[in-house]
Amino acid sequence: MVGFARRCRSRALPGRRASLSRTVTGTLAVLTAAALISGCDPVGAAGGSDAGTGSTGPSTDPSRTTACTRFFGDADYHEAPAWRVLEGAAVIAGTAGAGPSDGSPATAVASEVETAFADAPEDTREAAGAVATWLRTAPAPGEHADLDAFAGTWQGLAESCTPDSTAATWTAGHGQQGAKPAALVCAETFTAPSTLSVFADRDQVVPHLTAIAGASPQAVPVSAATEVAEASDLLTAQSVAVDDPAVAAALREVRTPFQDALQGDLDSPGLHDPLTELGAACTAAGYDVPDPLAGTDTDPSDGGTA
Amino acid sequence: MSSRAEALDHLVRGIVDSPDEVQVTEKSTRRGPLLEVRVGPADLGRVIGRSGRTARALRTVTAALSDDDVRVDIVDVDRR
Repeated sequence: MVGFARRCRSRALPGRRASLSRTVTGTLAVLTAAALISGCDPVGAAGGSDAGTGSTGPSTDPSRTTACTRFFGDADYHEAPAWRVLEGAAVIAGTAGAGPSDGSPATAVASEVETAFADAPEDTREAAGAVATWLRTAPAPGEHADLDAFAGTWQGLAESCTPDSTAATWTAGHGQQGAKPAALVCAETFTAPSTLSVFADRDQVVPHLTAIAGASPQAVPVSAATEVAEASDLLTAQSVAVDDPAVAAALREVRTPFQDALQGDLDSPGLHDPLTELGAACTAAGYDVPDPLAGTDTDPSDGGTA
Repeated sequence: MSSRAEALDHLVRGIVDSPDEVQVTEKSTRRGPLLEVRVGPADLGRVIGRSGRTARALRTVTAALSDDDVRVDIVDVDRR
């Protein structure tokens, strides 16, 4: 994987850290390893960017380019077959009893993946086949389905479609910071399922954000501390990745109540106006968002849950 | 700097391209202790990671080193 060694390198403890106690240092060694194992997967996609890690050279196979761009929805991202697959994976992972069986939606999207790449080169067909296999055979449907394993197959397909598809390139973690197409960022925010985000379900990101910070003013639930931090991260990652300053600025406005909550201020003014701004910025950038608050509960009497 | 802040500082420096730009600051807020992580703008995405996994791992490690409910905030340089 491009850049893997660089991202996962470890440095020796500098001299000024010698004051750390032996116990803490030993603990650090173990925890550093754990953190690096957890954290040194490829970065990019909806929640991060892999700044400085260039993608591979241009594809040499037009059939791969055609299959990959069509599947990942390049370059307008309004209708990406990839999202139906992500939704199918979310259904398997999130709904007990919705697992693979002949005729199930998961089986249908598995077939869709294979069909989409039927004319692609063998390595890409195999990567797509791995995704389809997970969809058909995820061993324990429902809450025990291994979404991390799915993410691994998805990553493999994205790698195989890099650099043919821009969306795949970002999914694989090879996008250049500040160069992510606004349409892709907007699609990931308003349209794509949250399967591989921190929220890990079939809903879009926006309803999750309003569930935490409200569309109208509300208190951010104290119990949502983890979601608040990770929503802030997600919005930060998108704002530094996107190539459109107006979309970046609007994303930062959406992020404000999450960052305020991290600082201890749980009074959210609501996301109605920031999301409306973001929708307008996306529309101006070429990704039409007719209703930025679609799918959210805009009733101010609802205190919101997270 | 507390030991957990120092540990977090060390971990983040191991991830980024510009370790000299890493700053970890511990603050006390109404909701308890907060560790703010500042990195160079080009390293922000790297510290957060794909789907926020790197940031999540950093929070997990920091929590493991803490007796209280410390929070970790990856601070964007463009924060208002």
